[in-house]
This record gives sequence, structure tokens and C-alpha cells, in this order.
Amino acid sequence: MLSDFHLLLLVLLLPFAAALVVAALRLREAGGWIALGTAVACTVALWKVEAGHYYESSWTPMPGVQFSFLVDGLSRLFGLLVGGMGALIFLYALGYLGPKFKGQSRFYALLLLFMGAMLGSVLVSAPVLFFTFWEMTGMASFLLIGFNAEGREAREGARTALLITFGTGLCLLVAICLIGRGGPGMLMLLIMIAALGKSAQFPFHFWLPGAMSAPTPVSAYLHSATLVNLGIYLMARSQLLGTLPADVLTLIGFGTMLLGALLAFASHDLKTILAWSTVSALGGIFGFYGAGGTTGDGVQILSHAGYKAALFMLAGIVDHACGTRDLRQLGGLGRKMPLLAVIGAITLASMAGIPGTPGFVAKELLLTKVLSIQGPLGWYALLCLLGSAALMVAIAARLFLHLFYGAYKAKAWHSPSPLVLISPTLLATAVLAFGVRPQWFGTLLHALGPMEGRGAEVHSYALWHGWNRPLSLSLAAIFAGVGLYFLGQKRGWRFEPVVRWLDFAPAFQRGHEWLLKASARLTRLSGAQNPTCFLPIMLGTALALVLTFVAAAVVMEGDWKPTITLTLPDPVRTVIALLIAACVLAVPWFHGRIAALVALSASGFLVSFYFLLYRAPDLALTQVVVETALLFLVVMLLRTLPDRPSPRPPRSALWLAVAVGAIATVAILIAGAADPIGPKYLEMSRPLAGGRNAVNTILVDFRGFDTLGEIAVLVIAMLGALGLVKGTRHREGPWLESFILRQLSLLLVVPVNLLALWLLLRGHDAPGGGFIAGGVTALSLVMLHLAIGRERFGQLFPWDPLRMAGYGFLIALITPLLPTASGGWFFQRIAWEKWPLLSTTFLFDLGVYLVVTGVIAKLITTLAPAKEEAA
Amino acid sequence: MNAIILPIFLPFLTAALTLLWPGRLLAMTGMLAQLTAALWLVIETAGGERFLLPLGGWGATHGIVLVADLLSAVMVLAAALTALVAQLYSYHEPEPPLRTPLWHFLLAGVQLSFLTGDLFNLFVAFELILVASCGLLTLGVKGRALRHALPYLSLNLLGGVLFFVAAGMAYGLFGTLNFVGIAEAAASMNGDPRLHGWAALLLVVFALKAGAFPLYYWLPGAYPIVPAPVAAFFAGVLTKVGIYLLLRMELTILPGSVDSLQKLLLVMAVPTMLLGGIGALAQQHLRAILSFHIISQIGYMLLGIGLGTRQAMAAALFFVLHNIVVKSSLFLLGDLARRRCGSDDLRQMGDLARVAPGLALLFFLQAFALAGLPPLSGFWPKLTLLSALATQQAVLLMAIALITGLLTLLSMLKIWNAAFWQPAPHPAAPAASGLWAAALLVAAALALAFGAQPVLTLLETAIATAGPTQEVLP
Repeated sequence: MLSDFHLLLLVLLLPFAAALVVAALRLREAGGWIALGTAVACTVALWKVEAGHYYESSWTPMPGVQFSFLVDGLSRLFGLLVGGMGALIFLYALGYLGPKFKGQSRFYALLLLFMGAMLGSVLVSAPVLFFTFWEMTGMASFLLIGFNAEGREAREGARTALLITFGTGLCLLVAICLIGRGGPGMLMLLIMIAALGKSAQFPFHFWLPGAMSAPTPVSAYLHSATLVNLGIYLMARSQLLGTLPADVLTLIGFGTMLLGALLAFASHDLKTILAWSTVSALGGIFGFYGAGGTTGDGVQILSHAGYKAALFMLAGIVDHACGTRDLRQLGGLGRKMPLLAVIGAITLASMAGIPGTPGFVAKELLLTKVLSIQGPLGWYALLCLLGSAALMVAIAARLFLHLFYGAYKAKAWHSPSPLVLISPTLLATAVLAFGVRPQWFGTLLHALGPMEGRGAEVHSYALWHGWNRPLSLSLAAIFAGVGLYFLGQKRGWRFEPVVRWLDFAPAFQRGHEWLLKASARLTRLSGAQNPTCFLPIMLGTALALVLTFVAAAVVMEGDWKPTITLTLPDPVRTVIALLIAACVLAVPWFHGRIAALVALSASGFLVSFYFLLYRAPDLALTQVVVETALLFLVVMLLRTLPDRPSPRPPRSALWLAVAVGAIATVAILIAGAADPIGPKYLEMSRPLAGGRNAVNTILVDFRGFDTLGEIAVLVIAMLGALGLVKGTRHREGPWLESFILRQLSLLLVVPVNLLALWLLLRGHDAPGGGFIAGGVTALSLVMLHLAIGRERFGQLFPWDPLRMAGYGFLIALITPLLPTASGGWFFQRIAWEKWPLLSTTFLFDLGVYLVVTGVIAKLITTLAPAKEEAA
Repeated sequence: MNAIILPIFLPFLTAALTLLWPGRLLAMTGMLAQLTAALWLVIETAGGERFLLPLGGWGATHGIVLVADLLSAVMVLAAALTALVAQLYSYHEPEPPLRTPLWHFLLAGVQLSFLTGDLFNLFVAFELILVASCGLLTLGVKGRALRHALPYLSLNLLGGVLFFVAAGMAYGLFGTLNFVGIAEAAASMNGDPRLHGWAALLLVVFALKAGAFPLYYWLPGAYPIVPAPVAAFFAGVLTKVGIYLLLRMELTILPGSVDSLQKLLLVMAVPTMLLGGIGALAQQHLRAILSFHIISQIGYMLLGIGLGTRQAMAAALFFVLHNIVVKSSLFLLGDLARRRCGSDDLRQMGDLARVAPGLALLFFLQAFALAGLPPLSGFWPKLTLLSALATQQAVLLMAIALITGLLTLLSMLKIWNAAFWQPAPHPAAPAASGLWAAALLVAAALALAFGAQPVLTLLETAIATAGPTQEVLP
């Protein structure tokens, strides 16, 4: 025989496994039978499990998740309710869902999933795990409410239900995080909000009628008997954590009780009426806790679940048979379905709280509790309770008389299958039995065992307690209810203002739409849709943050003085610096694009002068080559654009640019190096890296990996550009019209490339290197291309520059790998004694050369003819 | 250890080879090899070990050092996995030429940014990422959609310029570009306004990459125009590079020397979360909604980093992993949905729950994971973050984090009710392949969810061992 813990695990896991099987095998009818079997098995197994704490600590899959379970009277009560009611519902569903019903396997799988989540919720004692199951019930409920998603009401009802339960569930999550940290009052309040949301209590009551778009078995199971009871379970359970906020609970509970009854009284749809009456009944139980009730809640829950589930099933049968649920179009069913009328009579009597029914027992319990509340709150509770009791009587009378008496008004008639009648008949029998013998409640609850933190069930329930105050009040309410029924009859059951004022669903819907509109406006306002302000926002943010941080630190530090290492340059440099500044400032002043480009380019060439003055011929050369190639490219691109003057940038953008420039200058100035690294490189270059040109040794050795990345960037940029211009047609024939220029370019090709080779070879020790050499070669190739045209160029050089770049990159990538073969580091330099030139660094530089040549040549030869096509 | 170059070397090699000899098989092999290398790296570093690769044998002062610790390794693995799945997703379709090499170059840049220990080298990685992503962005895009690429390019280029300035200043301020070197130098100049200004500048650069408020504007316009597999990778991984670097900055580069950085991150987190959520709610197109979600989720991560406790940072890192997996798969699933309906305008979609139940199931799981419902993967980092906030009694921040979750759920319901439930205006197109690739990511998300505690322990180790302790170089 299985141990208790294994049985418990079986109860927890079986529904999920069954759901998986049903969904995976797409079982239809068979899925229903499997579900029925699962529900029965879970119920039986749970009945067998010994009460107590169970704990499995060897493994925690998730933070805050302990496998700890609590089986006591309360969890058994709810577990058996979930399992037993599940069995009845599945039996009912087997008859209710005709063969034409779409998505049967999905339906059963979801219901099983829900059942598993529900059983999990009521059996675990670890808070986080409880929350997990709690939310899973909400998700399953969402999918089941929206099961017939073609209808707008179903989609909106599902959304509302999920939003309310998820939103209030977040309070529970906060409470779980605050356990042991926050005050107990706060904790209980948060838990209460979550429970109110789940159980559809004021001010969240409106989601429950919206959930009625679900197929009727779902309404009967989730939205009358189990899911909505989860809030009550939470309330009962959290009495272990602290004292409930009694006054608030009383206020809300009894208020909701009356509210629900009023709304039920004013509605016409069979399921809506039942939903509101569920809200009302649950409100009574919340009020019961508020009034200090503990034992006795089991009777409330069981009696409500019993008659309400049966009534929902009845509503489903009526809907199925007549094609409508509107009370105003129904009647005369008593003759067509006498058994249904009997079931209806029994369960409606219990709903109305007629003596001799479980409903009456529950109401008496509640009345006794209410009468014990002192002060105005007691009067409030009593009035609400009596009012709703009277209303319930009127509603029950209306339901019975309008359903089963009178003439048959509905247009259609489908005979229900006998299968659907089994479950409601069983429930009605139970209602009858427990009504006549209320002491069975005591026996049953006692058998379930005591609830943790509470004594055993001691209350003795009896049919007759003698003539006392609760009984007389109860009878008064019944008489008042009869009066209300006649009032309703007289008014034709038209009480629209009640619905208008008390049902918050339309307001919620409007709020939702308003939120969508407001968020659209806010998003527009935040600038997310207007690209022109992106750059100013970004620069402004950077500027503001940097300045704020510096200012804050200066204030904190007190006496901080920046040490600005500013030595005025000699006259030549000053002039060049001023010229550079003038060129840059001129750019926004020029209207024409070409003029602006020339100004920008001039500043670039001037920078190379500046490099020369600092004795950095490598940098100067590179700058010249890059600047030339860039000028070429941009001119070619600009000529394809329509010849319109570019708009002047706004004044504010200009100021922002100047501010950023100024700040950057100051930043560079004050970030002066205490211990500059440049001289160290100069010292190390020859002895450590075997080259006299420090720029080159940095590029191909010290920080060669950066160079590898940068040539990759070049290749990528080429690929990106090719992707953009692909599809443009090429013009045949030479581009240069001038004969002299053409001949000159032809003449220059060989000497220029010799120069490039020379630059490449001497790079490690003298100004030069792969980067510069590549630029020079590429420019010569471009000249040649322009001179002789694409066709002849292609004949002369049959290889694609793109492949050249690719091979170059491959060489530059593989070379650093060579030293690892002999136990060296990636990128470590290997040089041969005999030929110091033939080192890995040279090979790498060769790769760089090929990449630079290939990329520039490819870009310019691709872009060059594109202009003609546009012209 | 030389082998830690592999996650960078392999994509570089694949890129070069596929550039010269285009071929699907080659690209796939490269991806798989890289994933293997990434897995190996995680296994090797799982105990908190750290591996150094001094490139060229030079030390940290004048050379570049690559560093692989658990934090890097985890990111490398996530990126490699996402790239592989994105590649698998489009396996049956003809791939536009040039995309494969660009894709691998991008990957190399991303992996480099996770593995480098050098500020200027990081700048190179940024360039690789930016240029490659821009290439991919514009590759398949025609006509007016191209204009969305412009903000992406211009903002990120400007970010690059700022980064360049910051790198230059680092040379001046600290005399080194090495992360640990900077950390050591910064520790001795505590309170120096220059240090604070520099830190703010660097934070702007990283926050721009991450897509934090008010620097996220490049993101929502650009992502919806990209082809699905590329978008999936972008959405999953690219912004997380920024988050990773913010973590690095907090843990390795400037641990504790500029404490106002954390406050700034907290301040940025709130509008990032809220505006991301609100922006998502305002959109009518599926991919636009998903793009805005990226931003709101970034807010959670900023919150975690800003709190600065080990638990909170581990939560942020968990968010990163969860997001990489979930977001990427949502973009793939969203693309499948778009193809079934012929449009990703929510008003033109519908019926997918009935027509494509498998797709619906996967989307539902991932959407609810993103909204943070238990037991899915988004819940556990949220729970960890919330309890970290609760320890600090930061009730307001808790509320904002939860409201963001609610906003996410709202916009997911918007997608769900429209694309999956409402009656479709047109009959659905036949199913496209690629669902199984997305399913791989969903499986990864579920693995994260049901192994949340071991993952969290691993990530806490990652956070704990990411500090600036430089072993003596061999």
C-alpha cells in the first residue's frame, strides 16, 4: 500500500498528468471519462491521507518553494469539495458537451489543469508554492472563460476576470514577501484584498457575471463551487498568520451580500442571476469571518456549493433545451421536465433558506453570529443579511415559477441527454438529505478532522433549536421575500437603475479603454514617436548627468581644484588649430552639401598636419588616405541626391552641439594623465616587440586584437553598404572623361603600388604599415577603375576585391593562432632569426593590408557607377 | 587560458569562411561549435573560477586581457543559444546573401563584449555590434521602412563617440584601460569629481545600449522592421549587452567607488519600467508591443542593479537570462502569427487559438512568463527582486514593479484577445515552418522556470565572483 505522502503526491500530480495525456492524445469523449476517473481517484486518495504536516526537503527547484503540505480538516474539506464536485461536473459535462462541441480535449485538459491547481492550492503550506497554484487557477479560469472566444463578451469577460484576480493576487505576492518583515496589520490587509478579488467581493464583484460566458460546466465548477471559494480558503487559512481585520471584513462581506442579492434581483439572465447570488452568498461567508466566526464555515461552504452547482447545471440544461437563458422568454418547463422541476424545487428552497434545507441551517448560523456583533456595525450586518435573505426568497420564487410554470415560450426544444441529469439529481438528493438531517454536517466535518489552529468541530446542527430570535427573523425575511416577489411581478422585474449603479463592469471597461488612449497620448508625449528630438534628448541627458555628477562631487568634496594641463601651442599649431575650428564651424553655415563637405574634409586634412607637427607621420598618412577615400565616397553619394539645399539645423541644436564640444574639451583637458602611457610604449617598442615604429607595434602587436576587431568592422561596413546599394545597375565605360587624367592614372598605377609595397614592408620600423599601404593601393585601383571603366578593369583584375578582403581577414585571424600550437599565447609574436621581417606580426599586417585594400576598392567601385543611373 | 578566445574566434572564423564560401552547413557548424565552447566555458567557470587570456602575452597595462568568469560565461552561453535558435528558425528559407557573415560578425562582437577586460577593446566590440547590426537591420528592408534605421544608427553612433571620449579619458585618469586596473586606480581617487563625471559618461553609454529611459528611443522603431530571426536575436541579446556592462561596471570597474551611480540607476529604472509598459499598451502592432516590452523589462534589471545587493543583482541577471530566452522566442512566435494572419496589425489578426493551437500554447506560455506569472520563468526573478526590495522596505518601488507587471499583462492580453481569440477577418495562411525552433527556446524558458533555484544559486556565484581581483598574470 502507498504511504500517506505518496498518496498526497498522487493527488497533486495525477490531474496534471491526466491533463497532459488528454491534451497530447487529443482525447475527446475518452478525455471526459479519464477526467472523471481522475477526480474520483483524487477524492478517494485524499480521503485516505492521514491528517498532518508533510515535508520533503531534499530538493528545492525554485526560490522560496518548499515541498511542505498540510492536511487537516480545512484542506480536506476543500480538497474533497474540489475532487467530488469535479467528478460530478465531469459526469455532467460528458452529457452536456454534444459531439458537435469543438475542442473537447482542450476543454477537459484545462478543467483537469484547474483541478490540479486547485488541489495544490488547498494542500500546500509553503506560501510561494501556494501563490503559484493560486495564479494557475486564475490562468486556467481565464482560458476557460474565453473558451468560446468568438463572442466579444467571452473575451472581455475573460480579460476582466484575469486582470482582477491577477491584480489583487499581486497583493498576496507582496504579503508573501513581507512575511516576517512588515507589520501584521498590513499583511492581513493585503491578504484580504487578494481574497476579496478571488472571491468576487466588493469592489471587485463585477468580474463574476462577466465570467458566465464560459461553458456551463465551467460556471458550475469554477465560478460557483471551487475557484471563488479559494478566497474563503485563504481567509480561513490566514487566521493562522494573525487576526483578520474584522470590521473591514464585516463591512465588505455583508455589504457584498446585499449588493449581490440586489443585482441578482434585477437581472434576467439565468446564469447572471446565479452568479450574483454566488457573490451574495460568498459575501455572507466573508461577513461570517468578520463577525468572528470560525467553526461553522464548513456548513456555509458545503450548503452553498451543493445547491449552487446543481442550479448551474440546471441552468445549463435549460439553456441547452430551450436555446435561451433569459427568464423573460422561459416558462412551462415543469410539464416537459418534471424531474428537473423537482431538482429545482429542492435546490431553490435551499437557496431561499426555507426551513428544512441546508441553506436554512447556514443562514441560522450566520444570524446567530450577526446578532452577537455589538453597536451600529451589528445593525448594519443584520439589515444587510435580512435584506439579502428576503431578496433571495423572491429570486428563488421567481426562478421556480418563471421556469416551471406558465406557458412554454421558447422557440426551440432539444431533449437533454439523460446523462446530464445524474449529477444534479445526486446533488439535490444530498441537499435534501442534509437538510432533513443537519446533524450529518457535524458528523462529516468531524470526520474530516480538526483544522489547524482551531478546535475540533463541536457544533451540533439540528433541524429544530426551539423558537428563538434567529428563527423568527428568518421567518420574517421569508415573508418579506414573498412580498418582494409580488413587487417584482408588479413592476415586471424592471430594476435597471440597480444594475446601472451597482455593476461596475461597464465602468471597468471604460477605464480600460481610457487607459489605452491615455497611454497612446503619453507615449506620444514622451517623444518616442518623433525622431527629430532623439539626438537632443540623448545629448542633453548625457550632458546633464555628467554635469550633475561632477557638481555633486565638487559640492561633496569642498576644495577641489582641477589641474588643467594646458600649454599654449606654438604659433604654427595655433594657426592650424584655429583653421580646424573654423572649418568645423563653417559646416552648418554652408547651404550646399558639397560646400559643407569640402569644409568638413578640409578640417580632416588639417588634422593630418597637426599629427605631422606632433611627429606622428603614420597617423598623418592614415588620416590623408582615409580622408581622401571618404571624400570620394561621399561626393559620389551626394551627386545621386536631388540638388536641394539642406535645411539649416535649428539654433537650439547648434547650441547643444557647442555645449557638448566644450564639455568634451574640458573633460579631455582635466583628465590629464598623471602617468601617461605613451612614453612607455616608445620605450618598450624596440626591445619587446622588435619594431622601432611604436604606432605599428601597438597596432599589430601590443593591441593587435583591437586591430583585428577594427578590420572586421571594415569588412562588416562593406557588407552593410553592399546590402544597401545592391540592385543598382552599373554603367559601362570609363568614368573619367578627361584624357589627361585617364593617362595619368594609368601611368601612376605601378609606381603607386610599389610605394604601397614599400610602406607595407617597412611598417614595423618606420612610418608605414598595412593600413596605410592598403589605403594607397586601394586609391590607385580606384583611379584605374575610373580611368578604364568597369569592363576593362574586370579584365585586368579578375578577382573580386570582396574576396581579397575576405582572404585578408582570414590571414589576420589565423596568424595569431599559430603561436598557440607551440604553447604560446594567442596573438604572441613569433619571429624567425634569419628573416626578422617574416614574423607573425608581418603576416598579420599583410592581412590588414588586404582587408583595407579590398574594402575601399570594393566600396568605391560599387558605388561609383551608381551615380549615372540616378542621373 | 587560450581557449577562452573560442567564443569570439569561432564566429569570426565562420564569418570569414561564409563570406568566401557561402553555405548553410558551414554556418550551422560554426554556431554549434560556438555553443559547445560556451557550454564548456560555463561548466569550467561554474565554481567561480576565472580564466585570463593576456593577448600576445602582454600584461594588463599595455596589452589587452580577455577575462572569462561565470558572469561572462553565462552571457556567452545565452547569446550562443539564441543565435543558434534564430538561425534554425530560418533554416528552411533561402537566406539572403551577406546575412550569414554579418550575423556571425555580430555574434563575435557580442561575445567579445562579454569576454573583454579592456575598455578600448570593449569600444571595438561596440563598433562591431553597431556596424553589424546596422548592416543586418538594413539588409532586408526596403523603401520607407529604412528611415527607422536612421535613429538606430545615429543614436548609437553618437553613443560610440561618447564611449570614445570616455575611453580616452580613462587613459588620462587611470593610466590604464584594463577594468581591474581602473578599479584599483578609482579606489584610490574616491570622491574625485573627475571620476564621478567619467562614471556618469560611461553609464550613459551603457544605458543607451541597454535602452534605459530616456535613452531608449532608438529601439522601438527599429526592431519591428527587422526580419524575424534577426529581430529575435536583437530583441533578446543586444540590449542585454548594455545590462551586462552596467553589471560589470558596478561589480568590476567601479565597485563602490561611485555610489551615486546606483541611485541614478534606481531613478532611471522607474520611468523605464512604466514608460515601457505604457508604450506597449499604446501600440497596435504585435511586434511594436513586443519591442516596448523589452524596455519595461530593462527597467526591472536596472532596478536590480541599482539596489546593489547580491540577491538583487542575481535577480537582475536572472531577468537577463529569462528575457533573452523569452523575448527571442516571442519575436519568433510573433512572426509565425504574423505569417498566419498576413499582417501583424492586431486589427487584422485573429482566430489563431483555433487555427494554430501549438503556436497559441507556446505564445501563451511565453507571454505569461514575461508578465511574471508563476510558475513560469519571469516569476522567479521577480520574486527574488521583490523580496530584495522588501528587505530594504522599498514599498513604492515594489508597487511600481508590480504595476509594470500588470501593464505587461494588459498588453499581452491585448495581443492574445486580438490575435488568438477574436474572429479573423481573413482566412489563415498555411502554417510556416519554424515553430519547433521557437519551441526550443520555450523549453529553455521552462527549464529556467523549473530549475530556478539552482540557476539562482549559480547566478549568485556569478555575481559574487565578478569582483575586481586580478590574478598575477603568468
